[in-house]
Amino acid sequence: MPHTMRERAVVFGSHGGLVGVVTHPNAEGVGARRAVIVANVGLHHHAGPFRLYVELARALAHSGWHTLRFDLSGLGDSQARPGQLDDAAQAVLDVTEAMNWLETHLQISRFVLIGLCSGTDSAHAVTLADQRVAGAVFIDGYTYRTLGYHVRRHTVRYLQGKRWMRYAARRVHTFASQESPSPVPDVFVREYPSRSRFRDDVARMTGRGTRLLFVYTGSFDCYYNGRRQLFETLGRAIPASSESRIDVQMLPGADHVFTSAAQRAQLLGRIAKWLGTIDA
Amino acid sequence: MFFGDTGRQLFGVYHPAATARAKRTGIVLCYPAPQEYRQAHWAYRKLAQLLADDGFHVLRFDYFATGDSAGSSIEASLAQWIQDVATAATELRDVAGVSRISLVGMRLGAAIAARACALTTPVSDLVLWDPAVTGRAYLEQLDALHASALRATRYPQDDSREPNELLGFPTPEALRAAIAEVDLSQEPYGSPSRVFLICAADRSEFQRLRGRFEKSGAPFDYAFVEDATLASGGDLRSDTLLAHRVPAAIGAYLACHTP
Repeated sequence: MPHTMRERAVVFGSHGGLVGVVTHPNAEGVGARRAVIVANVGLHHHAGPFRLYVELARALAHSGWHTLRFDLSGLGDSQARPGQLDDAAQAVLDVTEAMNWLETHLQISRFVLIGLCSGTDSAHAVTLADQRVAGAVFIDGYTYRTLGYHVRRHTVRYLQGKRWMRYAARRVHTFASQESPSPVPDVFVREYPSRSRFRDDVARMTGRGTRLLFVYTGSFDCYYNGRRQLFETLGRAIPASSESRIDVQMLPGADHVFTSAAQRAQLLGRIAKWLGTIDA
Repeated sequence: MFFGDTGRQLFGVYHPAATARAKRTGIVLCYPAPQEYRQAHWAYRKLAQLLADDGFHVLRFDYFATGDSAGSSIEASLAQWIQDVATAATELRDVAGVSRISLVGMRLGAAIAARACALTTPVSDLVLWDPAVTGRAYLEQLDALHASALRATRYPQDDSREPNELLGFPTPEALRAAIAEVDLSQEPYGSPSRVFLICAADRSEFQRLRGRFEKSGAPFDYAFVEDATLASGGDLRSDTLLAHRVPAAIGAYLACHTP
């Protein structure tokens, strides 16, 4: 089966060491001046966990989006950046230089950033600082436990039969196999901005018209367990006029890295639909 | 860079020789199967750079329907991957101007390299790094890891998983069947100038393969180098193969045996 995707490998950045792949829109989208940017996350290189970002880019090409997936400095296929910048500052510079490259070479001036897990750190910072960002998708990003979270955790959670069945099955297997129970992965444990800083940042982003999509998977249910939890966190920091610029999608059947094809398809469908509402 | 036929393009990273005088033999690195690709990526990049520093032109690339290459994961095919090695070898000859090609493959990548050597690609050195000696044992190991990963998933259990998925990747029945037929201890491996079997784990299947090559009388070397390995299993969702000694040993071996 022939594959008509138009993709090209690119090397960019002020140190000439950032490596990525640009997927161009298919014929109907030629001339589009908007792009999605997604940086690698952790030790997954720019193809993404289980090729998630490859599938994302190729799906979005049908909707008229350019997509750049790339590796942050020193990770994946990209070269380390010389100098003394810490990882966070370096990631922000990398993403900014990705936008600069697209602006220079493809005359694109409106961007949507996608960050998964720790990738939300740079996506959040650049979205806050750069007016070229029309929207951002934060997948299993910052979470803050609220009163509602605790209520749900100690009520709804314990009324779910499937959860109890799975708990029992795991206990039985652990006992029968003498395996150690698997701990909560420490990949989820990292530093977030303070709650007040987060509120202020989101207020600034949405106040200038930037659209935000927050996606939470089932793996994050120990941190985020109800669609309204984000709005409980934001409280009155966000005026009603700006709240409409925030969307939350819950994917309770998905794990943190979208291990199954069905999970990935579900995520890509939600993102594509949301991007269809972006005026970029 | 992308290379190969339009519509079936392969993604590769070319590491030009970093010495003033490059060797005439280029090296194509053959990745393991998609399930072990992420874990091996760091080690492959390290190996490629070591080889480039030793004067080799190196190409590491993604097979069709894997990584950044064209094709969706469901289209993965062992026969295609073997053909892709030939495409990559041609590309490296064209780009670097080398006259000979050596192949390095790890795990299933070793079996793919050996098949390519037998079927499609004239090869100088054939380096087998912790090879998947038999496809059946290899699949059994991945199946066990897959079952373990499903058990380890905290609630909610994903009910939507396709039955032919293996550690996150669609694995069509035809691909499983082709992998199951792999048996490096029996099948032809072409006529490379030398075979180098390098293992980071002490496994009986490696010794069986070593015996096969030693009996053949063809130029053959074996090394056991204690290092990180994917051959012993582990959590393929989180582990990264931080191998240092094996890449260094492969680099030293090829530098020594290659004009």
